[in-house]
Amino acid sequence: MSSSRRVIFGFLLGTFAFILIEAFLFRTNLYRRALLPFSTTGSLEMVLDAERARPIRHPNQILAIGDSRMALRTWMANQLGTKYTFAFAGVAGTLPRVWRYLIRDIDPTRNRYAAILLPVDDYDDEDWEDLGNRSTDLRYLIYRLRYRDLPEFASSFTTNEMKLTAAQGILLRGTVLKDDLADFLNNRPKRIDLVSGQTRSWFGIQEDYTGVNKTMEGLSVDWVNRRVTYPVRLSAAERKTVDDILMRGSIPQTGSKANYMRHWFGKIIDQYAGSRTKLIFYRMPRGPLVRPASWAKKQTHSIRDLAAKPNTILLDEHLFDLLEKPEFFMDPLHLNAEGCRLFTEILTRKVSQVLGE
Amino acid sequence: MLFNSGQFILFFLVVLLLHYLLPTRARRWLLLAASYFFYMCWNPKFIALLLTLTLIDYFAALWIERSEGPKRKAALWFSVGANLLFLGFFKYYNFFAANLAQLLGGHTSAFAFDIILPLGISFHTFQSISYVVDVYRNEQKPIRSLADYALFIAFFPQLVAGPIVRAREFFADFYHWRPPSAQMLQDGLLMMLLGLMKKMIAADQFAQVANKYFASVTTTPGFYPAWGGVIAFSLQIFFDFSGYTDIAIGSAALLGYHFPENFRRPYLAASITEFWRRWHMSLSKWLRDYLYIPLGGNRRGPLSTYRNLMLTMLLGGLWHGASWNFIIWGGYHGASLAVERLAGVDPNRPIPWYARAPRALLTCSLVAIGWVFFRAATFRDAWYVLGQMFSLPPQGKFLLSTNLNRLALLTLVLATTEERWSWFDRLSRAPLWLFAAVVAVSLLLLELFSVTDIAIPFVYFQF
Repeated sequence: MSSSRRVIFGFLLGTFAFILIEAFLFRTNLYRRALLPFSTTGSLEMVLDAERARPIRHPNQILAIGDSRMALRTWMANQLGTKYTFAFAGVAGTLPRVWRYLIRDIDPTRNRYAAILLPVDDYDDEDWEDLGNRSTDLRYLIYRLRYRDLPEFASSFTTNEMKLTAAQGILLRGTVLKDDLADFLNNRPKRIDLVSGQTRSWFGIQEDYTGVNKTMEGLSVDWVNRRVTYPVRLSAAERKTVDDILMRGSIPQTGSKANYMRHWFGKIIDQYAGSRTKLIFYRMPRGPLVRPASWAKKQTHSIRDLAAKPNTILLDEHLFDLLEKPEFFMDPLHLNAEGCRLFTEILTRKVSQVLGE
Repeated sequence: MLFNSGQFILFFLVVLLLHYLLPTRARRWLLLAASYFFYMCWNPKFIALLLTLTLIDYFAALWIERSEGPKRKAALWFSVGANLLFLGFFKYYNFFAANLAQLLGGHTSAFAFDIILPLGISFHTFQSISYVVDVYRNEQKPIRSLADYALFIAFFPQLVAGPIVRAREFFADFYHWRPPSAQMLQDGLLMMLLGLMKKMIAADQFAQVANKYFASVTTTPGFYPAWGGVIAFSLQIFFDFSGYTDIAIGSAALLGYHFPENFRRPYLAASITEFWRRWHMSLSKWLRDYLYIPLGGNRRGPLSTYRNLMLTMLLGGLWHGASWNFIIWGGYHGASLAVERLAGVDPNRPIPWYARAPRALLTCSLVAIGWVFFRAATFRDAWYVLGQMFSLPPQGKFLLSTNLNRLALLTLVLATTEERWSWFDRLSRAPLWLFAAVVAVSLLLLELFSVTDIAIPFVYFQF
């Protein structure tokens, strides 16, 4: 081998060694065990581990997926005396793209659950944010994504920059995990304490958590004049959040949300094709007040369309209408303790009824 | 297309691959096309400016060769004048217009134009001037091929921020091109990795502290914040600029070209005179050869020497940017050089080890004080920062985090040991396994510790 070729060989050897070290650090459990528990990556991994470790004593298991708005209290649901056991694998801030990979890895044999509950904002689509380009999805999923997911996952982002970042992240997980690593190196003793206590605290939340007792009473909107009256207790920042959610303007409807929903829910439905697992969609309580229907032109109906697929069930979209009141919400998005209790009761009974008591 | 972007790495890999696949005669066209593409990625419109200056200097050099007497001088001044005219208009017009308007009692923007500073104009005009002056001095034969000359000016590794390469250095490689030796390849690869680490791991970390401090100096008053901000900038500008240069030198080496050394651990210098022999060496040499020596250098007595030093450094300061702060920075260094000469400081005289450390610390502090004028947005800000740096009793919080202090200390240890044992040179002759290990560790450090969430451009891109 000529000297120049030796240098090139040495460089390639170094690159290969780097890939091996990187894989040893981030493709094994070595660093995964030290993730910041309530970070984006850490919270998803924690939920995944907790659900994987949960003992399955009978086949009537129901898994609830969702984001922070998913108000099912499984410990309450399991005390209602149905023949089903409810489990929760929701992660704040997640959307169907994340759920698709989370479900795949929680239930690789497609036989663990009688049903999976999938919440949606609405059965009809309104574009109001670019769901396809959320960079946090890469952070949530970094330990779930495999080399073979690269084409599907990276190409699902809408900008070239994010496509490239996602591809880079799948190939070299360290590029995504480096902030977590920096935090670990800066706060080692604190992190070790947090990591060793995480399982206990996670189940602590699950087992007796009821919710927050605040309400949005006092909130009203003059929809004609677009004037909001806020509950007295709300801060300026909270008032702005109310405005952003309730009074937001509409943007040109391109059908991007419909495409997103069809694609990612379609993937989940395809995963369970031919299995015993039912996929149950339901519309979440939309908020303490509901925007007038005339404010949005909903031209596509992705969730209604998906109902035609096998194993798919749509619950009555008005199931939670009675909860769409200020007294059941703690903020513009989340149900309060009483709202959660009612939500759990209604959903548990309805699902049991649909699946067969 | 920043040197530390994935876009550049991809571009460079394609150019490198094609360079070795294409026949020798096609390589100049490949490099020229790649260089123009590289330049146009920033702003395609300004390629016309680069081409115009290339044509002017190319024909001026031929004209100089064929002329004698006053015509020869006229050709030289035509070329130098054209370069200075373009540089003057794009870089200094608004500065002089603002000062003139102020003198006349008008608003500073009364005569201003909306001018975009063309990328790398300060560097390629200096390179062009050195070429025509060398031809005039019969130190360089004019280049017959327009494409070859155009490549010398536009060669992408050094087009934007140097190092300022002399024509004889470039064409010695170009006309006698040989595939790079194994050591040159190993050196080039290590230089690129080192440059990327300097920029992405060190410079960009210190930049965040310096940018935050200098964005609003009055919000964090006190001795410690001022020194913290200034030290952060001192380290940022070194790692940023020398990192850029390392990538330029490394990428040129992989293509088979030798670029001159531009930085030699400048913060270990024991005097300001030595500092300028270690900092931006290609500019220092240019200023010496084309300004200081033609002004008379040190040949006409002490007073003339001090004047020449001041003039050279004032113009060197102005070269960096069109503002009074840069002129003051240049003047500060000119005065420091003059004082050292007056005090008999001889950078060639060996210094005992026990005297070197305190002198290096003193030099470093003096350089850091100079950076205040270089970095501060206005003279008022610079004056405020200087006031805080000497305010007693010391108050406030030192802005560098523990990790940044550790990083600064680590780089000091690396620089000191490199000065003593030249470990980097040894590394470029290291056995295969060690070379591979260094590559692996460097890539891992780049992956895990580089700043990628915010894009911080190279400091010298603005010049």
